Amino acid sequence: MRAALLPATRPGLVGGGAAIAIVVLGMVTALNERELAGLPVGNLLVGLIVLAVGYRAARDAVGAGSRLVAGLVAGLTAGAFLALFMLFTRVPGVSEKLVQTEPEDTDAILFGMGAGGAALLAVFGAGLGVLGGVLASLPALPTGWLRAVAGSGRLRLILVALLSLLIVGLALAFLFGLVVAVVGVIVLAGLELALLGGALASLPPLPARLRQVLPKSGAGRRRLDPVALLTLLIMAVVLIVVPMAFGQYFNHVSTTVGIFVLMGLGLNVVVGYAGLLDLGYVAFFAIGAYAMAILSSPEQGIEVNFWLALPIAMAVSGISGTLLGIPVLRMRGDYLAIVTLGFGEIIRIFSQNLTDLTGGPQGVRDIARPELAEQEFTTLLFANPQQFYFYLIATGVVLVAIISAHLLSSRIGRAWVAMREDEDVARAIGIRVVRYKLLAFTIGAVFAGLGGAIFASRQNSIFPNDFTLIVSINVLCLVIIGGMGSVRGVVVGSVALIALPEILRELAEFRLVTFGALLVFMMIVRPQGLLPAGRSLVSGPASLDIAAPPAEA
Amino acid sequence: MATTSTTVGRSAAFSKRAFLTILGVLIGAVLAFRLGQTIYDQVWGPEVWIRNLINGLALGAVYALIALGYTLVYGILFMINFAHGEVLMLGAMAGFFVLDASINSGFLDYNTLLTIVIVFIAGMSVAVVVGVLLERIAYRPLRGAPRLVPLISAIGASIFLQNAALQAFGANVKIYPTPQITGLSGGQRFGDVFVANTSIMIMVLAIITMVALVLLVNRSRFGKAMRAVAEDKPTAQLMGIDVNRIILLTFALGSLLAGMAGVMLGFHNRQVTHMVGFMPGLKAFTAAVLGGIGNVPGAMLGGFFLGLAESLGPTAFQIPSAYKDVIAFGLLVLILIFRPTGLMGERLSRERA
Amino acid sequence: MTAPPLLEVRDLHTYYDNIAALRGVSLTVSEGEIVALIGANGAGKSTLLKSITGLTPPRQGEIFMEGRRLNGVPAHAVVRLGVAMVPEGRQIFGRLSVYENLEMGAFTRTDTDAVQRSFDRVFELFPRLAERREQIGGTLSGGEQQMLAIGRAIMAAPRLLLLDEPSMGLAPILVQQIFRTIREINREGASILLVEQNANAALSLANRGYVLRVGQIVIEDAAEALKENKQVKEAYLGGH
Ligand SMILES: Nc1ncnc2c1ncn2[C@@H]1O[C@H](COP(=O)(O)OP(=O)(O)O)[C@@H](O)[C@H]1O
Ligand SMILES: [Mg+2]
Repeated sequence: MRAALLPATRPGLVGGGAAIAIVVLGMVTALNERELAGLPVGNLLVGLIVLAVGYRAARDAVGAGSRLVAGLVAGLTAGAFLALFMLFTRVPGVSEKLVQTEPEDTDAILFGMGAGGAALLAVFGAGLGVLGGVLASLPALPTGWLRAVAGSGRLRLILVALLSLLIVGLALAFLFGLVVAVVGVIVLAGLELALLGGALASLPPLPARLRQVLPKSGAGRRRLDPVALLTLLIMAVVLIVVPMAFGQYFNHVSTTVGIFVLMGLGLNVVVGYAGLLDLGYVAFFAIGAYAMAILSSPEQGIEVNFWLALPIAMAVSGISGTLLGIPVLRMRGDYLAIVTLGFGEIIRIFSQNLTDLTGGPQGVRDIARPELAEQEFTTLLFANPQQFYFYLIATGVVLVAIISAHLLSSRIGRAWVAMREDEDVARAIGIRVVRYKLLAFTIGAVFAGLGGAIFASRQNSIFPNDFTLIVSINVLCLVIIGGMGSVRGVVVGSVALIALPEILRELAEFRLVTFGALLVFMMIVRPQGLLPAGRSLVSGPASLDIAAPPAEA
Repeated sequence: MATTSTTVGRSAAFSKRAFLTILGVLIGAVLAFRLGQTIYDQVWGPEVWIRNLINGLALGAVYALIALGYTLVYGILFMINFAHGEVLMLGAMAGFFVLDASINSGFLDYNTLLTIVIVFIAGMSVAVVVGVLLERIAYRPLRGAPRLVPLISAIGASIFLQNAALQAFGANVKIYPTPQITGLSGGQRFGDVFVANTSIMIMVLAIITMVALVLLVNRSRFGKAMRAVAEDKPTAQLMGIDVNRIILLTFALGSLLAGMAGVMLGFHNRQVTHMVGFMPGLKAFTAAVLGGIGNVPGAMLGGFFLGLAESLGPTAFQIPSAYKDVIAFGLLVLILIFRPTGLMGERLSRERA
Repeated sequence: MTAPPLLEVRDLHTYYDNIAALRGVSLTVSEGEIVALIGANGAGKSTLLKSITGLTPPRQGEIFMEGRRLNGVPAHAVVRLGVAMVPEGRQIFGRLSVYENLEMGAFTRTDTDAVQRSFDRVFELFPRLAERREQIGGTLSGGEQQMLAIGRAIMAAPRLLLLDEPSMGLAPILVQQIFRTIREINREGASILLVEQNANAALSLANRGYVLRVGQIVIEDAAEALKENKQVKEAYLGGH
């Protein structure tokens, strides 16, 4: 039993640290404004953390007695750690530095009793820890029947999907009211349909033997599974109906997501297919946007029509991709990352300082909207311009998705994969590595340019600050979160990364903190992304071995 | 496997010595020419040049200290510790809080030198704690994962730390009260040239630290173990080296240097915010790559090279200083084109002829 | 009643992901013995050594060193228990000097006088290394690297020395020299588990031998007997 004591302090310290962090970050204060079953949510969260700590510590212990002791020790440690810190914040001068921590919160956490409260908090923690230990000692839930019910893969998927809709809907309704809940559920439902369609399609729809007998069509051809087809249909309907049913806000969020999907698909070609780590991808987005802006805004005196400016912007972006690629693509992976990152910064610095061309910090205004037959298309057919952008971007996304799917299954795609898996081998079998890298870079730049051009038009004015490094990082993260190398993954990643924080605006101030923590967490528990492509696409075999020095270009 | 990096050095477009010589002569010639020209044309006098030279050296010393952290970690794990700049920022913050407390309590007036020492120790300790936690929480579970995975985790950690600092300490600029500190506030006048005391402190401290670091890496038991781990982890284990512990200590060492650099920047720039880690971190990483990442002397050379380029470049070519970041990255691209593994080549080991 | 063997391996199973490399290997090395382990490429010889040193922890089975259980002991702690290994392909630290490589071998030892004696002994056994003590490891010839790898293992003052194909890629004269040195080390008190493809040489040196095939021990016998064994002759001794 004594052996369980020391190891149990570790989860205690971790949990105490986590509790301190959410207090210091002001999350407890913010969440305490809501109540759940009469208890303030913030304090509840702290309690939950301590409970989890006790559970975790107890799970590692053997024997019922040891479990309870481990839970107790862990909870006590966590409670004491938190209590000590709370006392520390009462040292004169400390709480002023912690802008989010009000003395009242500290008092409340210490039960308004100062040092005595600290002791009480530690005891309270110990109690919660024991409770966690009890939970860990309970026999495992009889989940067998559930598994039996959901035995078939399809049924399980559908059950999970419905359940998640219910939970998310209730949660959102509870937190933010009905409107957000409906939006949220619909977004999620669409998403799940996309997912589910894919997942169902990937289950063997025909007995394997039957499939072997059937004639195989061309290499890249996919079989048309009725389930997949149905999903596509539903998705199309949703896509067409949804923007009409919802207002400005939904359309704004969904077009933002769409623009990020465009960029994500482009970066997916560069990183996911060709394995080139580009940290300055925003540069091409910016070039596309500025090309559209400069060509079409009356400020520059060129004033080209949107439809003419769009392909020019894509071309300019693509050409700059090639031009940047020529010197840097011979470099090794990590160097490529830093050089592209630098390139992104350089473009931003230029956009800030080349005032004659870009307007400097004032940006470019009055960027053209798409017109048709001398008339503002947007006012002619649609209630608000965002609605038109929705369809425009949706069309763009579908086209780009089809193009990139075809690229992957083409000769070019196979060359990329070979190159990504092992560059030396690829070279040895006669693949012109630099040329294919250039191609990937250029295609990625064209897609980003498309996104940028549409973005500029939708925004109507653009500023250098629209094109910071954080955009590059967001796009990279959504590609990776979605699952590198997979088109579906990019869509899911964009929704997860762009739409959810937008919808959860109320938590805005904690958005980035949570996002950062989630990225780390995700890399630890699911590094392959939410919807990974079939094989290990993250990188070549050489890089799987930590002992091996990085592969050379 | 062990010989790969030596072949890199050899397969480079130029040999190291030839390249460094050509580069040195070229830069020297251009600078000398522009020096003469600007003085002759009375654009600016030699004192401007000397002032910027010293600024460049001080800036370069800071870059070098930060770059060493990147290089040590890269040398041993082949990963870019993207959150290194945030470690620096938190060190600078901790230094600020301690300095602030010592002013309020009157300790600063009681013993100025001791206060400065304590501020440095506080900044470095907090940086070490953050760096070590970072390794344990965000990187160690990912050992052996494909290369992009720890990179993304590092990016996440960087975003987390930066915004956590913003949340916890607020967005307001925190003023390092350097002018109140006798000994750090003023400067020395050498003829026409005025040199801030903080610049002198930075250079002296940085150079002492770097000498100590080189000795540590080359001579100490820990340094040798670190180089062994960098080269071959399983074999290092066979020698009885606890690889995890060495990696953790390497993070601690790099973070210590970052914390020191953070406090230096705080004193020198007289302010900190949650953003102060970002640009220096980026620049220092550039410096590390410039010098040849994984290479200890390379990181130092790269740091000074970059610092000087940023301060002398605009002086020499009359470029607006808004473009100094363009100079930094432009240089990086140029040098990597000719020397794909950086100025000194890559390796975490002792330099020998 | 006999003393427990120095090394005892019982029913060892080791996997790479889900592929079994060892499937129930048992073997012993007694105090003062030289034991040869022979087997074809991919039989699992290196895996066995790596399992003993903790580099590839076994999934099942037990390992005892002087009666102490090695399962779960991290690789870096095994050397403290008196086990040193000369890994396959030498794996010297190519960017450390000869002297530093040897220092790494003695990493866990604190008695500086004893370490100095080990240095002297290594330089006595391999005068070539003494001449090149400041040279960078990666620039040594193959034979010198093998000497360095063995010297480095000696620096740990092991009670049990594991050698993985020390003759690989060496000229015959060098092989002879290496094998003489191994015998010397054994005379000075270290027991030896020698993995070799060069079965003839290994069995001439060894007291006993095991034959490993696809992850299992198929034959175990005295070295002389193994040399005469028909199967062994055909498969591993080139049929003469
Ligand atoms: N790192 C590894 N990953 C996966 N399989 C491995 C690894 N190392 C060895 N193997 C496999 O384990 C088996 C035994 O290998 P090994 O022990 O090296 O054989 P030997 O040393 O007898 O030639 C072989 O089939 C080999 O392919
Ligand atoms: Mg082998």
